[in-house]
Amino acid sequence: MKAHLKVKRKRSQKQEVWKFIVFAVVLSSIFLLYPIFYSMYLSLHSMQGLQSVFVGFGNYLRMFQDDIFVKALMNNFTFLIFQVPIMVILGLLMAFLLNTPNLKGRTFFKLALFLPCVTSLVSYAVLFKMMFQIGGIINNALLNIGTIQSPIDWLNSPFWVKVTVIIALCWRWTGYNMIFYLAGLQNISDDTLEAADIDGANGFQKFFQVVIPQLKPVIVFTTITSTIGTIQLFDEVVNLTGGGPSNETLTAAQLIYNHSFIYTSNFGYSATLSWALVVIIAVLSIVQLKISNRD
Amino acid sequence: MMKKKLGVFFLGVFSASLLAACTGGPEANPEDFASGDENTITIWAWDTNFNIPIAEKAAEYYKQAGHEDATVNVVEMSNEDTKQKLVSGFTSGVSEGLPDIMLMDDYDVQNYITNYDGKFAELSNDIDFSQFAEYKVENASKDDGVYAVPFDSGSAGLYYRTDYLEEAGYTPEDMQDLTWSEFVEIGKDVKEATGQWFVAFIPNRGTHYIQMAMQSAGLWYFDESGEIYLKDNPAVREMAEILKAIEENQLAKPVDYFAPEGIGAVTSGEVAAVNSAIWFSATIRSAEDQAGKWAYTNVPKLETVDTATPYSNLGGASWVVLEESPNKEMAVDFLKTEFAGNDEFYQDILVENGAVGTYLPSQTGEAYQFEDPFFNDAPIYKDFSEWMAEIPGVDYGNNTQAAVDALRSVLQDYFDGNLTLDEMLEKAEENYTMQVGE
Repeated sequence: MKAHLKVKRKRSQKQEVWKFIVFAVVLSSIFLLYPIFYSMYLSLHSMQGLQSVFVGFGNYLRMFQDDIFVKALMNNFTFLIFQVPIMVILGLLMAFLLNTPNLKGRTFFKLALFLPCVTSLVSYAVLFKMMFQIGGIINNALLNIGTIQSPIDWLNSPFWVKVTVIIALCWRWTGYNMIFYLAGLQNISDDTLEAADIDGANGFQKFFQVVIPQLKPVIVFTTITSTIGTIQLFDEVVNLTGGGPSNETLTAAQLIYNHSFIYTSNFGYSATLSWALVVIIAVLSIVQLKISNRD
Repeated sequence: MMKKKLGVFFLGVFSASLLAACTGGPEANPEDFASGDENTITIWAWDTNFNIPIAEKAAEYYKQAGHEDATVNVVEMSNEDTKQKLVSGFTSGVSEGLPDIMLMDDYDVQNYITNYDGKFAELSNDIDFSQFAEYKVENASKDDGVYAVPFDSGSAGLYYRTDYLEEAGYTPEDMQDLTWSEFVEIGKDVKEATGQWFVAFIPNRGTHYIQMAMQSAGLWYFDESGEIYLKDNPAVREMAEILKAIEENQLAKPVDYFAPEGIGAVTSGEVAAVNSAIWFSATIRSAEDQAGKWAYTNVPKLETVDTATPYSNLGGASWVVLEESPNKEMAVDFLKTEFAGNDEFYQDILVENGAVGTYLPSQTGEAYQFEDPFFNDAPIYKDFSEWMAEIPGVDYGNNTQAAVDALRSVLQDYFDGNLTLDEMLEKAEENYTMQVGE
């Protein structure tokens, strides 16, 4: 009798639980699972506007022979390899400086460094485009202080255009990552730093051997989010360079957009390329987690 | 103390992001798309100096012509946005959130009416298309139907600064009947004599030069069977060399020619010449301090192509009506009444906005004889519309945008000497094939 009651209570408890989660399950099925499966279905079709043909794995085969996609991915990786480390190091340095105890105007500096993150992606890209014009403020400034003899064509030289994009990305995102490091720094107990002082550690030693190890989880987190952000890079390059010159700044996300909206609207192939990005991001994230968990 | 400061900081950040949110994203406004109200039509178009005031003027005329209750809602939206919204709506099968009438770039028309079969209204029963310039109607036709009302002409010419050219020793007579290589030589002289840029566009994105040259000879990116036609296309080959010369001699200020920087380069007097269409005359004229310093002539001619003419086209657009529009009949009637039947309206937008329509009956009007003091009393509209009749017609096909991108992706490598002309065009054709996936 008792046992029977228990079972009954358990079952009604279960039903209660279902009531709580059913709403979330339904919503995520409609807005998360359905699009995921539908994009898989799409990736098996080749489309032109409203016309759609089943091609099986044809899109995937096409992708492996698509030099433009490979080039776009290589551009993504170039940005990743240079921009993420620069940004992480700059962000750490800025956070460390802002965290020094007797700094005047700390709130002002924090706000100033964080403000780029609340500007719209499009407007800052447009501003950078104006600043880096051949007769723009950056060239004029460099000419005036005598760093360069003739203006640099930032936006049309295959090399400088990449530099420009990296500078823009750093300007926009360093402050954002800095906030995470600041929060992490405030959790580091002063005892450890004091202990290092007593042991005679200088600033560098404190930074590299006391602070950095304790910030590791935050650094891993920001590295992964920045990696994902760089692989999905879109707004900046579209508005700053349009992917040019010679596809030197074309990113995979922009190529997906082009296939969907600029050329003949082949959403099937776009979905295929998107799945390739998903796999790449997943692999990179797992690798980064594995590396950081090793020791 | 620390906590308080952090609080102030986050307050600042939050208010800043709220501000950003307010000014940032475009809000969806229910009036921006077609409504169920049977006396309202919504039009999407771009360019606040040109298409928008013209559409608004058409609306005024329409109201005066006995449709007092009509509301015509003109919404400004960039060309890219109109296409993106259209594609999203069509492919998702949703007919709401789209306009009744939309302006469409001529280079896109074939792509859309072919790939979105049944989404655009067929108009030949309502509108007499024999009244329009033939090349525009051809571009709007599929099978036996016509799916767009031709609007403005992209009749092209070479605008130049007489004062800069004089400094370099050239008279307006010297500027007549140029070839493209003569054009480049003049550019070098002008740059040397005046220190000014000759033109303003990014050479590695200079496909509009290639397009003007191709159409002047009745050629396009595709051959008669619709296959990509770059490597053996004499117009492309000649123009690639011209662009390379422009790049190597740094004759072009490298700014996007249709962006504010490019337009600014012209209006602030930084350049000596512009190859563009009649619709660009409005921009040139907006630099009032340069009145009397500009002149125009035909576009330069190709040397290596037998069919070359000095007449060409750049851009131009047409109006499409959406088949699923709730007020399709009114939308068609609006286009028919104003854009395919109102001479007075065309004269008005010609004088006010510098719009040369492709509606032929309007071109006999008095306004076309207008001698423009800005261009030293030259009859600019008469000249450009006479040239319009000579422009060779070409089929833009479905894949112009893909061909444009394929070429732009290789030009800089050719300029830098990493690729020869043949290698570059071969690679462009390969890129094109990858982009369209054939």
